[in-house]
Amino acid sequence: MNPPISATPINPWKAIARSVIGVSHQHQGQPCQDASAYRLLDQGILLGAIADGAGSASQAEIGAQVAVQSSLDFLQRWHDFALRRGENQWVQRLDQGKTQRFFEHLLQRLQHDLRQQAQTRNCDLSALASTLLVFVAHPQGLIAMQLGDGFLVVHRGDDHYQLLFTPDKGEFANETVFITSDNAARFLQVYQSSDPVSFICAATDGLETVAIKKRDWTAFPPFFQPLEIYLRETPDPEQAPDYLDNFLHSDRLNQRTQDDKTLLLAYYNVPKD
Amino acid sequence: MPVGLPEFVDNPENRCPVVLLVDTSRSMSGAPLLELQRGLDVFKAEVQQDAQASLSVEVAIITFGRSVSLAQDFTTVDDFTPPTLQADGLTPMAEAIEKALDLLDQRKASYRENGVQYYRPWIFLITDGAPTDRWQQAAERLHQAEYDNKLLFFAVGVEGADFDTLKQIATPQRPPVLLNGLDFSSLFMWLSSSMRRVSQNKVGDVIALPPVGWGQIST
Repeated sequence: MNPPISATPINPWKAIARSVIGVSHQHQGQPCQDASAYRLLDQGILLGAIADGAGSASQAEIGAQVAVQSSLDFLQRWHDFALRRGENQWVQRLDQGKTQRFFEHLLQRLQHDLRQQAQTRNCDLSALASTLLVFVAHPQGLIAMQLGDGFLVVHRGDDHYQLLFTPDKGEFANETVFITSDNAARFLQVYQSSDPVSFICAATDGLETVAIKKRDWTAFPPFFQPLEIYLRETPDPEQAPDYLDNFLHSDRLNQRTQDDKTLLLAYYNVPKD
Repeated sequence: MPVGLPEFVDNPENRCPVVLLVDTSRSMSGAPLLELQRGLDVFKAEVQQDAQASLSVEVAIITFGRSVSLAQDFTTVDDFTPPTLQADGLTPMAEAIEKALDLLDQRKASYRENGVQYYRPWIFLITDGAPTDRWQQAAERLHQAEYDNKLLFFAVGVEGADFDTLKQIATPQRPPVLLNGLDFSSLFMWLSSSMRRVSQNKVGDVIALPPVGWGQIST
């Protein structure tokens, strides 16, 4: 029986997400402590979240997964609730200040969820420590937040690949902030833009050393261009993931970084008139 | 349609700075300094076995004897040729410690200017005696730096060293270690192993240092 023809337009975004274990954790017999996921909603909305579990956290991989799923659940619930109230353009209506408060709310919700998980698992909250990077993209722009390290880069069809946040690092190379840290809210970074983007790349710290020029914290375009082309040229990336999988497992990459690696890529199909 | 692969940006390696404070007072002449010299060769050889560590670990050597001298300014292990050490004079340990702290501050400033990331630096003191200069101020500065989490200080005493004083210069959480005889080779094997672990340190990882087989922690 044929499904009814729907008047709902196809979501204009296409995306793919992969988290791959690094050589370091492989050698130590530890699991991949990165997590990543995205959801395509109606109204041309794309939700994305990535998290990097703290190396010292005994259940880092759980913490990262909870962080990602809880964030997406929160966003989806918010969206559904907004739609029921007739607010189809709720994301577009958020200015910088409202975006800040929105993500503060998400963070509080997430910390609550993590505390519950810690209770259920009978572990310290710190055992679930991870970083977090979240975005809500739509046809007119996007909002995003970052806590800790990792990076979020967007492209707008000009030549400029823009790094949205400078990753949070302490004085030393191996320090950052986690969702579970006491003062996490102080380090929350938030972004809001009403300029549409055509390409989004979210990644965890493992790829920072090859994709971001550390001297001045800028995105290195020759890293991102091939990824964008791959997305643009591939009708359904999840059905043709070899390019990305091969890259993330390549010797060439593993020689530069022993860390877990995550790439969440998204491309916006501009509808032809 | 074939797509090229992402290209990689050239970023400098994260640096792992370690300052060796080496006692070159008269009593160190002969076997002690010779063995220590050999230990430096061992250090270089061991760190070089790890391609990433050779580019990451940076070593500086300050000697203190007749005078306090920068025998080796910061260099990556790749480019490190252990200097020939001579023993003579007294033990101006405090001055050496102050010089090490200044040297580290300068190095960090240089890293920041050049967008180079670095791990928490180590200062590694090796002595067979007691400081012959006033050491309280240097010790205070050292303790403050440790308290502020700015560096890690390790003290190693050769047989005959003044451990009572060394204990006051070092920190309670890391008391001075008595070297087994003149087994500097084992000490430097341990140091290179530790540096290799530090240079691979991922965010938030607690580094498990290798066991101290080359000495005994003083009580």
